[in-house]
Amino acid sequence: MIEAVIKAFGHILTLKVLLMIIAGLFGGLISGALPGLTATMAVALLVPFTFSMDPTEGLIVLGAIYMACIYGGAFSAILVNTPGTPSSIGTTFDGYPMAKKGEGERAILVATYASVYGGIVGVIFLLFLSPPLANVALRFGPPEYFWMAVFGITIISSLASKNILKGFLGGAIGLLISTIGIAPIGGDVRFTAGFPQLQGGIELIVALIGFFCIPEVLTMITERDKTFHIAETKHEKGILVRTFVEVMKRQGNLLRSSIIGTIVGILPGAGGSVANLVAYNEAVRVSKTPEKFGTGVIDGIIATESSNNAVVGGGIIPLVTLGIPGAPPDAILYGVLLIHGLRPGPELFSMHSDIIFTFIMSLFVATIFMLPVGVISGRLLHRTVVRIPIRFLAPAIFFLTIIGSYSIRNNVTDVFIMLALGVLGYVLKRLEFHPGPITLGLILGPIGEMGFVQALLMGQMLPNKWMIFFNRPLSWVLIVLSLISLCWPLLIRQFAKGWKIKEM
Amino acid sequence: MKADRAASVVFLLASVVFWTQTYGLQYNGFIFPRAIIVLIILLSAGLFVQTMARKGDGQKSFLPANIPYVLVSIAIVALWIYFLNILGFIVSGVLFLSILTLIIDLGKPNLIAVLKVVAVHTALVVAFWVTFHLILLVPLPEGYLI
Amino acid sequence: MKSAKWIVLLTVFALLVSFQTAAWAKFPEKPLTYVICFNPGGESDITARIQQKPLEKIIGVPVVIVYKTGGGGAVGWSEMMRATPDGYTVYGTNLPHTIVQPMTRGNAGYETEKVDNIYFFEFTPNILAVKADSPIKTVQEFVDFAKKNPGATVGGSGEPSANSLGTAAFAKLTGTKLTYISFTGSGAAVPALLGGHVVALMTYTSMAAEYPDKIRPLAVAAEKRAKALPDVPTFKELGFEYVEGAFRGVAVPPGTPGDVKKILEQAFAKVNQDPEVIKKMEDLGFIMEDYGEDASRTLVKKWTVYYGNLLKELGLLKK
Repeated sequence: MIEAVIKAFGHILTLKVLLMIIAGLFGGLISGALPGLTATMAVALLVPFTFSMDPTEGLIVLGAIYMACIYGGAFSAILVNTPGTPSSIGTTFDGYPMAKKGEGERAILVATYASVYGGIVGVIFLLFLSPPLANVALRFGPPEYFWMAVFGITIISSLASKNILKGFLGGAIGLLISTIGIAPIGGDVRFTAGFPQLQGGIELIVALIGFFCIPEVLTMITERDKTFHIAETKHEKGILVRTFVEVMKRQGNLLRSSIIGTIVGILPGAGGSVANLVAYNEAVRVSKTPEKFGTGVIDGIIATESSNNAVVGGGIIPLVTLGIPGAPPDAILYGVLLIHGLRPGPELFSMHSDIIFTFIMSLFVATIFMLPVGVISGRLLHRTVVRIPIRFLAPAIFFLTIIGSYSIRNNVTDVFIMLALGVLGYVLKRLEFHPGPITLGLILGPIGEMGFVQALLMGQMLPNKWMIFFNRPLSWVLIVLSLISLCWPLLIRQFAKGWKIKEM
Repeated sequence: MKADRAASVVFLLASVVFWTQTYGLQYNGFIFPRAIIVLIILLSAGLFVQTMARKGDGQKSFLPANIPYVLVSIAIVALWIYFLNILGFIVSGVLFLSILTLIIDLGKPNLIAVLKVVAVHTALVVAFWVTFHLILLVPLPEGYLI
Repeated sequence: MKSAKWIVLLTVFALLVSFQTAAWAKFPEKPLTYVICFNPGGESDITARIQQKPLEKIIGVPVVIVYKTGGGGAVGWSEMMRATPDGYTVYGTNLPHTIVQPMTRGNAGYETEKVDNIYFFEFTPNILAVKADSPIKTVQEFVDFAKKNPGATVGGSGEPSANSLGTAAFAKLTGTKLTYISFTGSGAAVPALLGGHVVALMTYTSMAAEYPDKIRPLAVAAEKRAKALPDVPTFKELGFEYVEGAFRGVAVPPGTPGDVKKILEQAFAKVNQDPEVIKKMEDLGFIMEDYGEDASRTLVKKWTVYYGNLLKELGLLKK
């Protein structure tokens, strides 16, 4: 394998390829930062441009775009509280408060370092541990996906520690909204009120933009007496190095979150959107100061940004070993491989090992280059956005939200839905419902419902169909994790009370 | 408190509406939504009870300051979306962006200020249009004008 | 007067010539939009991309692929009903989706008869497949297994779809009770089979072509054997009267002028004869077809009758 790796570097370290990688990184960054343009779309958009290149180069560019896109989502999450991609939902929880406090540049730097770290970890797993890990992915069947969704929902108890009732209510609302459209099993049309456009359901990005962005823009408008919406950062000397050291001290968080990201990435059907929230949850759980999360602590950003970039490497593992895409953008890479006549699977490693190793190593190189590219663009972006007065910024953000929600399915209905959800989100925000749990419900609803109903159908072969949820060891692992996740905040509170009484 | 109470009632009513929509679906189609609706009903009832139990909690007032600006902005954006397919991307973009900026602004604008605003927005919208529509061939809303 | 006659003849001639150079004869002048109603990376996307470059060469303008996903294609097709019929936007269509969706949904947003298919270019028959290391080696063994284990799970893509209705038809044919489990796409059904979560798959030939060493196709639901799977018998050969699968084609909004449709139809027909296109498609398990506009209409009518009866028996007809 060593010679393969060295050979791969030989292909990559040419001026042409490096320039292509950098171009891909910039493109990916921009599409990531624009809410509405997801990694999947960015990759899909650029596939035709890659037809004129040879397959390896095409894959390299697409890989760079993908990696940078996931990272770029942090920019808008931090600057305007809108996740640029669903993988950065959790980055808004602590990134935006940091920006408001005047620590926006620091937040962006943290996101950059964390993303690079996570990306590298994901690629390392891809390089060394692909075959065994891929087989783990196969063991996840419908009951496991259901329990995984349940586990995901229990995260709400950490996210909404202030008012758990409202948190779960928000999550349930999200779950219900996710059922609008065609039922995954049976094909029934549900809750469309006669509008054929709603057959497609509520698109996640549209809801993200609506729930995260619109309420913030409307809040900006109510604070129109102020001119700038986020505090200006004084240009501090040495912030680059200082923040780097700060982030690197958090090895536990970095490593744990990256591993979570890699594993979630391996599971087909779950991607960065799930990974970043699970990682955030774990960071809260093991922290000594959980109540600080949500007010602007760098651990929050470290968890979300390292996990979501690890998903990139993780998602490619099942793609190249089994031919099964681990995350939505991988489906496009799969298509690209097929069009060029490269069949994903073991033959890819044996017959076309050249191409595969070059691709994997290019991801590595792209991630490293992401560091300077990100730092430069990030700081520039931050300084620009901070200087724009609200009377220009708010309408401009509306403009971006319109483009974003339109571009997903080329449908004006989606734009209206975005606005409607935005107003709903604003109302819910005034009622102190956090958008996090709602979007969690939206993301996990389809996964959970599909797992649930498919599992029940699987259970038809058993004497009691409900036993299907309880007769598999992997399911039990997830059930136990869910129970721990659910009860942890409550237990912690009990322990805390206990300590206080003892001290008195 | 009052807002929470009203919200819980709204959620309860909405749940009932959604439940009625589940008749006529197959088993595989209604089982999950119904479970969620039951959950929402229980949680909303819980929220309602909570508003009775706690006394005024120092909760932020529900209605924000400057609410007329918020409502007007929402209305303008709604109109903008409506006109996207009629006036086209560029015209509706420049028009409504400028309207929004001028409304959010403090003080009365003079003609020069208005022209500056329109110029800035025209540049912004055209730049996006060129990049996305012409170069990347991303479909953008099209109307009778551009 | 002789000169008057010449003038009249010349004028008529000039009119005829100018008529030939009227707008439609210059079609197409600007880029063509090819709308795919399914997710990027899926099979409809892959076939479109295989066609893209050859198509651009044949019609002389760029072809832009655009996605309009949702509702199993229904969102895109209902939009097609209201789109401008100028021939510059073509929509990928699929059978049996466009037949069964209006039948089983109250309001799919479009009617089967209004879908103006101008060309069907490929057919992907169903296959019954098991894991490569499964003890089941023939269709008969599967039928025996299903008889001993009622409710045996068969996975597939979508519902209602060729996979799901095919499973129902096959179950009826063999007198077995099969439990169909639908997945979001064939790409999601294969891991379920490989992980042992379902017993078999009623999926498409393309899956067998893409995972040759991992799944064992037992039979193909076509009239003849598939080129990509020469060793797999057809159901007919084994004594089961079962032919079914998915057709892929292109359609235009209703009201598109006839000559525009002819140009598009011929363009796609020519693409289908491109040897590179043929090779790529057949390698992926697709069977090339050549249904022009009229042939497509007959095809749709035939399958509408078939699916109408099947859905009625299953109690799934809404109309």
